[in-house]
Amino acid sequence: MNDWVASLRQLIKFIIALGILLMCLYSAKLMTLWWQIPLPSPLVAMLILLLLLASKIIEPSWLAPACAPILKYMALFFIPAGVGIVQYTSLLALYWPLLVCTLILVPVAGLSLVGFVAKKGLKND
Amino acid sequence: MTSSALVVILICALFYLFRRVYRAYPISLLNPLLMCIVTISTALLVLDIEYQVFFFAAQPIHFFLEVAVVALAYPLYMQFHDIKRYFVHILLCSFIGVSSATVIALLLCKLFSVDEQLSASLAALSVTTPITIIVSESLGGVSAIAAIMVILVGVFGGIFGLSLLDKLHIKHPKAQGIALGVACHAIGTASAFEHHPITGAYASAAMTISAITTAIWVPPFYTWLAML
Repeated sequence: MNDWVASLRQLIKFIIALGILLMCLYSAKLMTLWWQIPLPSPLVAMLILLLLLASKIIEPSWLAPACAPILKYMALFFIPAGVGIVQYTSLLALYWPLLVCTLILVPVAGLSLVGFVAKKGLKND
Repeated sequence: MTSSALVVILICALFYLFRRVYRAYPISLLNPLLMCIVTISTALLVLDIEYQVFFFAAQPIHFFLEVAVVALAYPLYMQFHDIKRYFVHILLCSFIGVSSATVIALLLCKLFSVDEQLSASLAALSVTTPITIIVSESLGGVSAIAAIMVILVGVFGGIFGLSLLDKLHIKHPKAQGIALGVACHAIGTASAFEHHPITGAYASAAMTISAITTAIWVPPFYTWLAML
């Protein structure tokens, strides 16, 4: 019985946390639409949530029940978009040397450049 | 509706399965995201199923991508005191990372002498998918190519990022996080979270700052570079 109550409480906490995230997301969608903000709405929503946390309107502990699992399994949410590659098989066949070079060089250069600069700045840490 | 529920359950089951496999055999190429994309893409091509049909059914999962971006505020806030000291540093790193991605992609496009539409699609590959799409569209690129490439850059970073940084003797967890967040956006950030919470927090901070940097900086920077 106690287990059941505990998991119900867990579920309610998850729904509240998810509700806060969704409220931020949809108010950001409205704001970007109304004021023609040239930034993606999820990013604006994240900034709104950050402001709400910084101004202590929202307690971080309210968010944890949804944020922890969502961030842990974030890779899952990329699957539908990633499978979109099937639409571009002919383009891949034509430009694969360029695309492969880009795919390797862009992250390798980015990671090593940023890694070195980041390490320099954090040295006396 | 029922087919959508079935597709969602199948994707989750597949992801769970590949996570178990990855836990048992932690080889980078067995990255669960990559394995899921390859398996489902192959299935669609073999069974001759339209992507739009699959995507419509998988919409509930895709929806959480936006929610996950909002959820990033949580680790960012929790690490705020720590990150505040390094804000300018992370900003500098994000400028370097974002600019290098644009320069390299443009140089490669010149080298392979491809049309402007394709090179505009590859202009902003190091940041989170929605920003890449907006930036490449504003430059006249094909958003779908940009979206696929940005995911693949992230997958590459998620698979090889940490071992590459280790090989380069960049072992500081915060530096690793910044590099993954700047260069490999959310997928790099996901791998950073799997590695260590601090690495993950720095990755999400770096990723967020890079997203803003890219949205503001890449369109004029790319236009200027393309004129040279």
